[in-house]
Amino acid sequence: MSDVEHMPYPEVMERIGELADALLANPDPKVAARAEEMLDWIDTFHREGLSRLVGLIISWRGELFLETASGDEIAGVILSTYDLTSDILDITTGRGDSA
Amino acid sequence: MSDVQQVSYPQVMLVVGEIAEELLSHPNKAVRDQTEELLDWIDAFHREGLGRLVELIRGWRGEIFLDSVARDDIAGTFLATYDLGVSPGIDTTAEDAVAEALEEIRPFVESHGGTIVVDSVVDGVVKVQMLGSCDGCPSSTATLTGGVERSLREHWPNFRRLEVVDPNAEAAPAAAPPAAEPVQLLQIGRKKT
Repeated sequence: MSDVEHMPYPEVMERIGELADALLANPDPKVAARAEEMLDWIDTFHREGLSRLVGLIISWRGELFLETASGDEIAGVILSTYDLTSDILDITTGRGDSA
Repeated sequence: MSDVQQVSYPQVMLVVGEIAEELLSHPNKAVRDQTEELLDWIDAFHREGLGRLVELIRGWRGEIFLDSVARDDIAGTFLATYDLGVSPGIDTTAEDAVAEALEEIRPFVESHGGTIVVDSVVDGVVKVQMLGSCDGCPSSTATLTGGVERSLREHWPNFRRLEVVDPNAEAAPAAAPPAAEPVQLLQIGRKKT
């Protein structure tokens, strides 16, 4: 079992990227193609699910919760991975710097 | 590009499972090992990230919200995949799994004059009280919690974290969420590739 406690959370995605690259570069084109298809479906599942969840969260608490979550060192990373942080979605409340 | 329109959302992970099974049974050991580790880290990444997000939601008094999320076809399936967002007491699957996992370590703890009492199991976070001779002793608590954590990690895939609760401590009042902002609906589309 890969233990996320033994690796800083942001570095987990780097390791995932390394392993994905290794499979995608496999000399057997069938392996590379199947690995790509699997990763594509995994991305689809998480992107669709997290987007839906974030949409519900915004309906529930407005953008304020998303701003808080986007600033969290763990939740912010997964939101950022799927382009769902408050700044990327451009729904900031306008608090803080106004420049 | 995989098209979720052609496969219903709950079926997507079945498709992933079929392809994963194919790669995990590949004759080349390197392919098997890389696939297993890749899936393991993907699981760990999402479990921890989503678990933290759900913890934040609970911190904002989101119990009722999480109940409504559970009924959503997509978001509910998504969180259920990681066994997250389940209201305590509604589904005892997690509690049963933890109890089973702790059976292995219980004789060891009891041989040290201690007792483990499960306080709560929510979103992969197991809170326990260490009672008996280990109560108040930092070194024995550290040794025993290390064993408990290993046992949970080994036997319960949804485990995220172990927290030891001080039975003598008063429960801290729940932090109030900031005042609600005006609701803004936002349609989020899929990322274009």
